[in-house]
Formats: sequence, structure tokens, C-alpha cells
Amino acid sequence: MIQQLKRTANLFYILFALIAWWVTATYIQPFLHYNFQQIAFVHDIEFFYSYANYAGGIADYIAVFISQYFAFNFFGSFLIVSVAVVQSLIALWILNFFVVNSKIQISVFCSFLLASIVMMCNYSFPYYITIRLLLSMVIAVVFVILNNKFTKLSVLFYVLLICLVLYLAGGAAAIVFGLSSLIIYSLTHKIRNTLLFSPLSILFTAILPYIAYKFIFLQSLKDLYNITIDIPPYMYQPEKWLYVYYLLLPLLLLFIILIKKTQGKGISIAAKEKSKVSFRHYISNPTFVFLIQLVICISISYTVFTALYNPQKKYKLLVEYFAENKQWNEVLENAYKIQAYDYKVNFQANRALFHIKRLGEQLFDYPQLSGVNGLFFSDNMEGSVIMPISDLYWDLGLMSESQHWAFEAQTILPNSPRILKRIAMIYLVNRNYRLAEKFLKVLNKNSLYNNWVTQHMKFIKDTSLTNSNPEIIQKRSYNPINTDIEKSAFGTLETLLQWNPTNRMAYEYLLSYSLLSSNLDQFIKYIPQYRNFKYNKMPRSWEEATTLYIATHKSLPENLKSDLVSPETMEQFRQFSKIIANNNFDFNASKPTLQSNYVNTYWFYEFYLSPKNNQ
Amino acid sequence: MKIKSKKYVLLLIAIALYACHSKVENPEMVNRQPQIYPDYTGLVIPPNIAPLNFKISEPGSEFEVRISTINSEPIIIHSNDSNIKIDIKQWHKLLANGKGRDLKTDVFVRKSDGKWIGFKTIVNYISQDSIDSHLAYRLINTGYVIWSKMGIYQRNIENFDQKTILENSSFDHGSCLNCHSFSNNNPNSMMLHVRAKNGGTIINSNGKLIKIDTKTNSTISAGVYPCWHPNGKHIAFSVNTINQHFLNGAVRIEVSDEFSDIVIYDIEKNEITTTPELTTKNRENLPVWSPDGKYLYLISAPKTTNLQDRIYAKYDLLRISYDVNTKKWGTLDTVLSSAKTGLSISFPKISPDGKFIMFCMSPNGYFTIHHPATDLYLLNLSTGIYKKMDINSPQTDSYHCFSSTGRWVVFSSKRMDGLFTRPFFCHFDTNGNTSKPFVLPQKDPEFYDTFLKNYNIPELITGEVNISSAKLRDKVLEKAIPAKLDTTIEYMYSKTD
Repeated sequence: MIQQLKRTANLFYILFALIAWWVTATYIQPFLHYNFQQIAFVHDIEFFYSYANYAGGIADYIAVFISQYFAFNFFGSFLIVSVAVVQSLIALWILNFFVVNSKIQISVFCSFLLASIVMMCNYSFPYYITIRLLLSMVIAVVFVILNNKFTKLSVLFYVLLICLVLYLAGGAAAIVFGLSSLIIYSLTHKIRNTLLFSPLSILFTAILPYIAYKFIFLQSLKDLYNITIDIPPYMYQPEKWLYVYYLLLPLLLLFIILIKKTQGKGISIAAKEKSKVSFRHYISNPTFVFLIQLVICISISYTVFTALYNPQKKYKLLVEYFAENKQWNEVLENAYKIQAYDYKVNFQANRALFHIKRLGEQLFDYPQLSGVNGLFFSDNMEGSVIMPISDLYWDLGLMSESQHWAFEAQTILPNSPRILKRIAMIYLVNRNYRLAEKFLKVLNKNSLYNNWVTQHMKFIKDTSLTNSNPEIIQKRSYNPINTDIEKSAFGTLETLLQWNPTNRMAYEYLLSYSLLSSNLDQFIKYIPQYRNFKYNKMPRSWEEATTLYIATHKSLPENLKSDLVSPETMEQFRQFSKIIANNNFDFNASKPTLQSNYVNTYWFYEFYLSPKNNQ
Repeated sequence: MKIKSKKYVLLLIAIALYACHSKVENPEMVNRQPQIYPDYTGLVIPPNIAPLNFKISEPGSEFEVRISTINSEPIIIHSNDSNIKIDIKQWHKLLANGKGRDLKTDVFVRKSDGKWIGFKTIVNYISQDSIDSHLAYRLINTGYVIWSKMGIYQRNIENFDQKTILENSSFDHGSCLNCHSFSNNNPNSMMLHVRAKNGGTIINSNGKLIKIDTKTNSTISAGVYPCWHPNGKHIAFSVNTINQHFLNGAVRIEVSDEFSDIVIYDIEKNEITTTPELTTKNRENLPVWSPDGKYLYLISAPKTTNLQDRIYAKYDLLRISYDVNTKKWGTLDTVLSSAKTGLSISFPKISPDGKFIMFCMSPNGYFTIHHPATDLYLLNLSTGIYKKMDINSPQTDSYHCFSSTGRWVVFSSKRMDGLFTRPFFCHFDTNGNTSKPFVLPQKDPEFYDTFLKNYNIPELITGEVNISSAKLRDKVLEKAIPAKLDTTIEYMYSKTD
């Protein structure tokens, strides 16, 4: 019976692992971790040294190696689940080592698997946290074996192994190991020895990171005690679940003590409490216990996962991901799924609208609540916007600013493939082939980008090939040479347009900037140039702005044709004005009616959303 | 029996490997020197410099290099790799025996047809003058606004060992480290600034470590650009309000001051003093002491009225006498004006014998590292004649430092790629003549190809900084002691004047 249950449990372990793989690949999608964190493993001895000189560095190095494969969704998911399964199996091994025929195996397996997987619901989660814990657990197993084989030398092994954990996996992992080994010790030694060992062990575990801080590692004290390292771009904020994850092993060991004590008392309890026979009957029925655990595990797994999995956050990352990969329709698709306004999404939505040639037409389909900051991030220096700023200037063809922000980003993420690619491309545009080659060589140390490097190295070997690359040709023609650029975004756009009047993005952004800053005079100054770009028809938001200009100025400048605005738009504006007039020009009272019909118009933006007019 | 047979196998493998190396016999001689990287040809080198490892940039399948001096056993390196790494012990032995003689390097390359070719001998000269054993520098990324991990390091230039003096990761990534400075190339008299989080100035004065807040209510800012008095007890600081401006021309960024003055900090008294002559509406900056400690040299630009003036102003070179014991100031003299040179003067440094001032000149401003047109100049203090130095390149050649003997100079140059700053060395004789500069040697000759950090403020020091990084870190985490303002100061120009 027990053997059959074991086989069933094994099947369920495999089933759970497969479900975890499916969930990870389908819902969590590790490629988003890869993209958001810009994970990069560099095949370089210096890269290894940079990890080997601090507590926890080796685990971090292993973590970067593994997590680079998150770039491949299914393989990355497989790796995540494999590591989680290893942790679960270690937990099971420890349980089975101390408790014969334990009935809680399935719960233990599920707990560790679940904890390890749900951590990945947070896309800022640094994977080294998992690897650090894994190393701590592996060394705990070593301690169990050594402690069992050489009981008299337990204390010596404890001291040596905790130091090893500290170096390999950092202070928090050492504390987990310290607590675990104390419990393991108590399970295998007499109470007198445990009482003697406990205070010493607790004290040593607690002060070991401090000793390391004072005499060995040049790290901050915080970094030596915390589970995470305090390093820019400071993306991850530890959650309470993280502490649960790290305490799972000590908790399991405490539970083992409890089981062992209960097992010891089991007979006497049974003798005394005859009245509870029927309940004990169920409890002692392995199938019943197994099924109950199965139900509880599935319920908890579902509850915890749904509590931690946040599709809204995922959509934001998908917007970033698709923007990086120039999949503009997908950018918009995900942007519209996001319920709460986000200025970064707004920024990418505007870029996407430009690239699908709908910026003028659909500018106000996305709520432009940040005004011009939704175009340029001008008032923001948040770490996660730095590379998108570089992207925007790349799109616009202003290489100096794209380079400036790419270098700022590279300061924080020195090996990021996205940043290195950008810098290499900028130098190709600028005909600085020597520097382009340098950055390509650096990128080539990342094995996932060897093909990309090979494709671009051909531009170095034969520089004339750059003259047949459409993107490089376009950027070269847009990039103003030896022209001092004003710091204001509008001035930059004007300069770009003066340098190359065919720079459509500079033109559309310039008009959009005028609209979003509620500067209709500026808008009207540049609108005549729209004919240069051969639009099929005047884009909607520009028509609406022109209508408003006519309404407020009673006429158009002489160089503008009166048929600039279609009769339909004029009629819509009349209706818009009528609603306000019907509400005695009470804008608050008019808002609900206007919102239902005009929310995606420039007029509604101007009256209700513009940060400038609605402060 | 088994062990014996294993030995034979190993011996056979060794013989086979040796046999694979063909001997250089009757090479066809080419009438030019080989292309090598970095350029270590035609140099004067210190007798205690680390091996000048290099890459042979000539196509070939095998390479042989013979390095020799007269009366010494040559170093012979035979390799399938074009990266030539010289044995450090043999190298130092060769240099020690070859002081004052030529160091000859013969390069042979085996071409694809199996024939060897030889090149004209590369001749470098081994100077009698040793160079200070260590170089201190900051390693920073190319970002201008944001910083992350950064540190100040020391490299033993007799070998390839680099050690950390202090890294911000040891206390807080939000802190910025800068402006490390030494008194007379002495590693035991060092200071550095910590900015932003844990801000303050750390001073190690011969083992006494302090953390000072040099900002007073009457000064524009905390101390910025420092220079130690030769007595090791005073530090002259500029106090500045600095900003950055981004451009799209050959100069991508301009750094300029709205205000700047100069103050003197007395380490023993923890006191800041100055004179009205150095706290005017003009922008006094970058103080540097004469080797006898009697004069303070500085640069100065007119006061700024708008952004254009501020960025494109030119700095003059001035000096003022000062007695640190009596606190007596002299009057300000112009040493060299920008009106005369047509360029802006920056980073004056006086040779230890007091004969020369080496300085940078660029079209405008003082923050020369971002100006490709920046070059190094030399002013003979006895004749007043200045000249552009031979060591310049088409790219930025900027921040420089004399060795303790004055016979060597290290300076920052972007000549290798126009972007990254690397330390270059050259010999400097008693008449101010210099030799061809060479880049700091690295174990891997291709190191600079993929190294994406800048060497910032290279400072030669006579030995290793003996204070531990942990002690420095602990000091950084302490609260800074506020410096006192000299009560005898009668007037100080302030921003509100």
C-alpha cells in the first residue's frame, strides 16, 4: 500500500513539475525577466572575478549564467522549474532522512516548488536569491551527511560549512544554513549538547556576516545581512513572501522535530484516547492523508499564484518588450489592456502610434495625462526610463542624445546587450567604426549575441556596406552634425526638422508636442508643412486643433487654406461647443456628456486632461 | 609498470608538441617594423616597468619574439598566439641589467606558406630613471549624470596587480567617490571626496584618518579640486558650483562653473582660510602649490553673466604667494594669460624641480577631458616661454601628474579610440624634453579593446597606499567633522554679492 502511494506521489511530483513548467512558460514568461532586467552573462575571466570577490558572488554568478537562458521562454521556464524541483527534492531528502515513511511528502514538495515559482511573479526578482538559497540547502544536506557520519565533529563541520555558505551564497543564506544546522544538530544530539550548542550557534550565525564585513569583504553591512544586494537600478523591493521562502527549510526542520516528538508519544496517546478512534483511523490512513494534502496543496497553490501574479504589471513589461523589438501593434494592444494610467506606457504608446503612422490620427486615443512628458520624459530621471529615452532619440535620428542616454544606461547595466547593441549602432551611424568594433567585441563575449555581432561585424570589415543599410542611411540623414542642440525638447525637434525637413518623426513629434503643451500658436506655425509629408488626409487630432484655433482666433493665418478642416470635424466641434453651452459653460457639468463622445479628441484633452490647463 | 608507461606517453606528447614548433631558420627579412598593439616602439621605458605585453598585428600561424639587451640572455617567446606575454621575472632581470641601454625586440612571423619572415628590430631605450611604483586612479563609466559602482584603485606598475583603495559598493552605491589626491606622490598622505550619500572629505595624513565637511556657511561649496601643500599639512581647494551641458558637436558635453573660489584647509587646525583675492567675482579654480610651498598657482576666468559666457570663457594662469605659517598672502600675478595663448588654460602642474609648469589648453573652459582639442603644454618658468608638447595626439590629452623625481609623467589620453581615457607615460628630462608616450601595460595585450571604463585622474605614488579599504570604508560611514572658518577673514565674495 505504502509503496503504491509512493509511486503515486512520484507521479504527482512529475505532474506538479509539468504544471509548474506550463504555468511558468504561459503566465510568468521568463523572457520578460530577461528583458526587464537586461540579464547578461559575459564569457570573460574578469566577469567571474567581479563576482568572486564578495559574499554571495559565486551564487550570483551561477544565477546570471542560468538566467541568461530566460531569453528562451520554454527553456528558461524549464530551468526555473528544474531549480525549484531540486530545492523540493532536497527538502524531501531531508524529511526522509529524519522521518521514516512520512506522510507529508507531497506537502513538502509542493511548498518548495510553489515558493520558488511564485517568486518569479515579480519581474524585478533577482534570480540569485533562488540560487543562494539552493546553495544553502545543498550545503545543509552535506551537513546532514557529515553530522550523521562524524557526530563528534559536528561543530567543526558547522563552522566550516557556514563560512562556505557565507562566501558562496551570502549572509542571509548563511543564516538559513545556521538555523537549519542548529535544528539538525538538535535532532541528532542529546539535549544537553544541544543546549550548549544552541546559544553559541545562534550567536555565531548572527555575528558571522558582521565579522566578514569587518575583516574580509568590502561590502556594506546591509548587503551582508540582507537577502538582496542593494545595487542600482534598485528594481526589486523584497516582499514578505521572500522571507517565507527563505524560512521554509528551518520551518520544515522544526516540523520534523514536531513529527518525531509526536511519533514518540503516539502510542501513549493512542492508548489514552480511545474515544478518538474514528478520527485516528482517518489520520493513519495514508491514502486519506495524501488526498487531503493534494487538495490543500492545489488550493493553496492556486490562491497564492493568483494573489501574486499581476497581469497588469506583465502588460507593462510586454509594452516595453514589444517596443524594444519594434512590434508596434503589439505595443498598442497591450497598452490598451492596462487599466491604470502609466506615463511609461503612454510614452511607448506614442512611439508605437508614430511607427504605425497613426500618431496624428490617434494621439488622444491613449489618455495623454502627462502632457509633453508622455513624449519626452523630460521631468523624469527614473532608472527604467533611461534606455527608452535613448530609443526615442534613436528614432528621431539624434545620435548625440541617443548615445548620451545609452551611456547613462550602460553605467547602471554595463553588460546589457540592448545597450551595447545601441551604442554599436550609433557608432556605425557616426562612421566611428573603431568604437563600433569595440562595442561589438564586448557584446561578442555574450554567447547569445554572437550571430548579431557577426551580422554587424561585416560593416566593420567592409564599411561601404553601411551605405546600403536603410536604417543607418536614414539615421545619418537625420543626425545633425556639429549643431549645438538646445536642451529643451521642442528646440531639439525644431533643430532636427531644420536639419532634415523630411524627418517625419521630428515633424509629428513637434506638432504633438505643441498640442500636448496646449500651444496652438506653435502648432499653427508648423502645420503648413504637413503637405510635405503627403498624408492622405489631415490627421484627426490636427484637424481638431485647427478647429479650436479657428474658434479662438476667429480665422486662420493667410498661408493656410480654409479647407484644412473637414466639414465633419467642424460639425463635431460645433456639437462639442453646444454641449458646453447647454450646460451654461459649466465645464464640470459638461464633462460626463463630453466624456462619452469626445474623450479621444484634442478638445477634450485641452479642456479636461491637459496638465497645463488642469493643474 | 603502469606508471612507467604513463611517463613515456607524457614524454612522447611533450616531444610531439615541441616538434610542432618549427624553428625560425633563414627568415625572409622585411624592411619595416612589425605592426604591434599597443604601440610599444621607439620608447624610453622605466627600468622597473611591468612587461610590455603586446599583440603582433601581422597575419601568421606562429610567432617568435626575441627581446634582448647587450650582454644579456635574450628572452625568447615562441607562440601560436599573436598575443605576446612576457615572463615577468625574465623581463625585470633583463631591464635591470640593461639600464641606460637599448632594449631590442625582434619579431618573426610564420606565414601561411610555412615560411618565416623577420621584421626590422624594434628599439626601445631603458632609462636609468625609475618610475614611482604605483598608479592611483578612479575607474568610471562613460555616463555623465548617473553613476553606479565606482572605485578608486591602485595599480602596481612594476607588475599587473590592481588593488582597491575604496569602492562605493563597500558602503553605498548611492555615493560618488572622486578627486583622490596625494601629497608629493606620498601614498600615506592621501585625500578623496565622497559625494551624495555619506558625503565628506576623507584625509589620511600619515596614518591619521579623518572625515571632514569642508563646506562652511561662507563658502560656495565643499572643497572640490584639491592640491596638497608640500608640507602635507594644508590642502588648497577650489569651491565651485558646477553644471553640465550636453551638445551635439565634436564636444558632446561642457562642464562649467557658475561660481568658483579658492580656500586653504589646515588639517591640524581643521580650519579653512582664504583671501579676498581668491574669492572675487571672477572664477578662481584648480589651485596648485609650487614645490617650495611658497606660491599657489591657479586658473581664473571672468565672472559669468550668461550661459554662453560661462561655457566659452577662457582661463588665465595666475599665482599668489602665501606663507602657511603666518597666513600672509601676497598679491595676485598673471603667469600666462589666455589673451596671449588664445586658448583656455587648465590643470597646471609644476615639475618637482620647480622649473616647468605643465598644463592643458583647450578652446574654452577648464574641464578639458571632454574637449578633443585639448593638448598639453609646457611653460618654462625661468624664461616664460611656453610650447605645445610633442606628446600630444589628435584626441584629448589631458590630466597629468609628475612622478616624485620629476623624470616621468603620466597623463590621460583618449588617443586609442577617442572615447575612453587611458593613462600614458613618458620620460621627462631636466630640460623638459619628453619621449614618445606609451599606455599602461596590461597582462592581456588586448585588454583595452574591450575595457569599457575610463581611467580618471591618474596619480603616480611612490608605493602602495597602506591604509586598508575597510578602514577607509569605516571612516566614510562616520559623520563628517565640520571645518571651521578662519575668524580673521574679513571679506568673502558670495553668490549673493
